[in-house]
Amino acid sequence: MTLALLLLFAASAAAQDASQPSPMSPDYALSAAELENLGLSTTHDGETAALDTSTRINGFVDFSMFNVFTEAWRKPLQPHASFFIGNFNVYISKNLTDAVRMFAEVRFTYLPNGVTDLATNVVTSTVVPDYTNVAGQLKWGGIEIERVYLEWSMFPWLTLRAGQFLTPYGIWNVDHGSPTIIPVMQPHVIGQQLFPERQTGLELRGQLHLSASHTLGYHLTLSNGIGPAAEYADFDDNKALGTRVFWSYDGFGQLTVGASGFFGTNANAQMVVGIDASSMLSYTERVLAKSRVASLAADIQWRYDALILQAEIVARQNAFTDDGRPVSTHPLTGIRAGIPDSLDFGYYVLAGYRFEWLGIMPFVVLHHIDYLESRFSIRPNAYVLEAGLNIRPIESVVLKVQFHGAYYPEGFVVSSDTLQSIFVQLAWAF
Amino acid sequence: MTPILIQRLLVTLSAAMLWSNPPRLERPRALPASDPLVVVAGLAFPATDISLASLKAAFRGQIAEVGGKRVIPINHAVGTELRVEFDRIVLGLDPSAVGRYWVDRRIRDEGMPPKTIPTAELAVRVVAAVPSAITYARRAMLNQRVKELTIDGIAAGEPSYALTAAR
Repeated sequence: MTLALLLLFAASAAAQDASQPSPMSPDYALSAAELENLGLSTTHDGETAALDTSTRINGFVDFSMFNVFTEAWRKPLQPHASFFIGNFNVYISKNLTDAVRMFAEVRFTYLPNGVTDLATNVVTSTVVPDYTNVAGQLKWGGIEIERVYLEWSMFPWLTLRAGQFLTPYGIWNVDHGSPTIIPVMQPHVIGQQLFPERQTGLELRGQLHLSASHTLGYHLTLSNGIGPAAEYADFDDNKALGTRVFWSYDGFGQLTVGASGFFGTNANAQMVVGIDASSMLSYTERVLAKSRVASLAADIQWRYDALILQAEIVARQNAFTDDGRPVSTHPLTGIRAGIPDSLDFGYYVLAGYRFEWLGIMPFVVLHHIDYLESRFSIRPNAYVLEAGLNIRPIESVVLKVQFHGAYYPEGFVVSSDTLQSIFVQLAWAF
Repeated sequence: MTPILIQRLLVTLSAAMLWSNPPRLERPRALPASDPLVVVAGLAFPATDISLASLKAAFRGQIAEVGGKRVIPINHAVGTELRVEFDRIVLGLDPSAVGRYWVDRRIRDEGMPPKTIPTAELAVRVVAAVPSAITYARRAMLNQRVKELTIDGIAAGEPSYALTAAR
């Protein structure tokens, strides 16, 4: 009895003197284990960090239908309305420390199966017997590495990326994913890659917050530039330089104005192996094509409440060197001619307004491009009007319906008729 | 003393002890609507002030540093009253647009959303324990383990305080 009373007294006293409040109290301090359960890891020096070191896998998919109404354009573009999976892109990312992380994006594609080579009229087939199914066949597809890099965030104003990255120009090329971009298709000025879509090398980037409303940002790139295998081989010693600077105003909505530049070479070369006079192997690099490329772009985006207005203008000068001008063979006439220098130019203007109801956004895009189509040695001069609905009932799923009309005032090798088509796309992020 | 007597005595004493020192079961406190939204950090946070630019950057998934330390933003659950109010002021986004905003940023690889903690009370406890973490709360939710940060030198309740500008 005495022992029991002593124990109870001691327990009561301990409870009353404890500095740690009850776990139900707001004053209760969380333990390291409880922080761990909330995903806040405790570092070795006793400090706690909110570093998520798990390997994250996410990405996006789009499923589309495309139908051409204009008879003259049906056969070259899409003879029959077709469903297709366009992008199945998987992202893999991981924080290695609180300042270093890796990121990769790969696209799984059915290509190259079914592609027709215009020069030879040969259809690529990847159909092979499947050794796991004696009676079956398998159509293999491809994997495109969209980007993969290691990123070191030294300061808010300085981050270094090393690897393959999307070229930081304008708005569209960085928006990149089908759930994020508003229409179904890229404007021609983006699709024609007047800037390279991606580069392999180094990227410095950062932002400087001048005030709560004004931000300056920059990107500087050093890369292999452009070429048939620029992802892993530079065919000359000229590394390409690129930049983007932008100013962002966060006040009357969000306004971003930017300018971008890219200066490099587009080179292709072949190593010819021979035997020299002393019976040793000799290596001679033969330049197949080489041009100096200078691209400039400007962009503006204004978001005010549910309204979005954005525009980009892009220009590229492509000038071949004396020994680097290639000869192309016209795929239809067989005539061979040197590819001329070119000054390509284009722009787009996009406007949209997203309503609360079902997240519906009617949008309009006007775009134009005037560029050299080197295979046919022509300059398509296209004006395109697109109008449609971008419906985003939930944050991760987008349904797009879009009419596309392309007008070629100087005609085109396919037809001088206005190209009219419709796209329907279901895109989702995961 | 029989075992039954011992048992009854223990029960009686336990009841008396609980009566004298009851567990502090906190009920959700009804907060007055006029109670200001404030930025909260633990006592170990290396500053008593944060710029609105750093606050915006941190909660937009960008790198923000205060006093040489990288700020760890702690968000509240989506749809909660304070989260809706804070997102409107700091991100400039309504609840319907917040999800789209973070999906879009993830696809561009422009940063992940801040850590989300289910309740405001728990978020305050987290910043009390994590030296460089910040969150937001009503002033009445604060306790002695946390401190209120001024924004650009202006305290809650003063004219032009950033988190009341859009209320």
